[in-house]
Amino acid sequence: MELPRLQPLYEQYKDQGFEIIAIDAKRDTERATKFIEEKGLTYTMLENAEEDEEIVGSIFKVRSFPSSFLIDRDGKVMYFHLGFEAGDEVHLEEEILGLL
Amino acid sequence: MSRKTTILTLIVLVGLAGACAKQEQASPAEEAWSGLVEARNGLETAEEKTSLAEDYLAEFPDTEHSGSMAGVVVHYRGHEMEDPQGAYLVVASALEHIEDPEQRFAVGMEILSLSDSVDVPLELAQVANSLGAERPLTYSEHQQVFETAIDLEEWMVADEHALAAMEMATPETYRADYPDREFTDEDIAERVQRRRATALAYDGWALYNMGDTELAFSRFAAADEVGSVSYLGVPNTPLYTFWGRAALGEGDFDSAVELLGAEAAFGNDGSGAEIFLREAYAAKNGDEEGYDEFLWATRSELATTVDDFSLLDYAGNQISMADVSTGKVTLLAFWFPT
Repeated sequence: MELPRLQPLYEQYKDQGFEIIAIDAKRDTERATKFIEEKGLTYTMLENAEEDEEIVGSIFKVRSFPSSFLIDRDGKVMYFHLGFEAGDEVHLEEEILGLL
Repeated sequence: MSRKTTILTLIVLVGLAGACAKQEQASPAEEAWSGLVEARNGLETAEEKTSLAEDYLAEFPDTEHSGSMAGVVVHYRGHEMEDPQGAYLVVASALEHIEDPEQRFAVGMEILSLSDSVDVPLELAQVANSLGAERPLTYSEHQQVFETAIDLEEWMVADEHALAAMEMATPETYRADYPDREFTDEDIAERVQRRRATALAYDGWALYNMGDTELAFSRFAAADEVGSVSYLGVPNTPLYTFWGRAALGEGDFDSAVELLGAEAAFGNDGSGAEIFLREAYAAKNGDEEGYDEFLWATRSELATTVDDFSLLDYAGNQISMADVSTGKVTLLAFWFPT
């Protein structure tokens, strides 16, 4: 599972101004809260909104999961990544370091 | 009715009811399947996930779940555990027992996806045609075939199925694929557009490799005109990778750098495009000097700014993106719990 792999990155770089926002596209509150608690995830976790205002499909046009966007300090999307396989966090870390 | 007959009748009735109840009971394969669905929720490691699927396939190779179980084995054993040969042996031995053409296709395609690391004795065209002999393939099946064909460099197969898929990129076909779901016309238009753009981009790349350069470039231009783009403004198909590689092949380094630059920054598979971008950059400039700066500059130039939004956290608080991320580097991750 990919989200727990992000936790060490968060802990390592949060003091330098790095944040993670994870958005549960399915709004599966019960499963999500159980998962977050079990894995000890401490970054910001949000639920996608109801259909009309849903963020995932309408604003970000995300159709495949997990998808992630890395945003710089000025709010620009500087990197997009689809999927999260073992080892991807290494490349992601380089990207984060490039922006910090 | 005598007492004896009544009792006898009752016994018969009870017996019949018992027999009926037995018939309604799930088959061993179905029972094992419900057990598996239950058990897989708690699994963590790739080893655990694949072994559940492998046990099921070994005992019940020919069920409606064969294709999806083969997919689990290929993903976890083949890719995550980096044991493609092992995954191949498991799935190929299941295939020997499968009669249903639908499942033979699904499992066959999973096996073919291992072709880059395992010597697979299956022919893509044959796998596609044997299901095609039963019924017309759906858009998604054609897509699965042309994507695999591109990976295997079977250009003619890719061309054939991309063309068939193009024909099927219509609102009617899309609705027929999802009979239980309701779509707005706008939704449908967007999805059909994306299907069309995908088929055009892949067909262009197949044609380019078959030597039909002119037609290939006209396919790329047509895919670009259909214009199915992601939030970040680049096609949500590998169009720019294919087009850029073709431009690189033709010695048009300016176009190659431009197309691959956009893809490497924000494409679906940016890391795939980056190798070719580096090559195109070196070809254009004589060497790789300044490449990293160039890549960052390209990204900055093309980057879109995120509009603020707000959502609820699990404690019910309304949180806006700006609250969390103003002035910070932020990773926005979209996921769903499985």
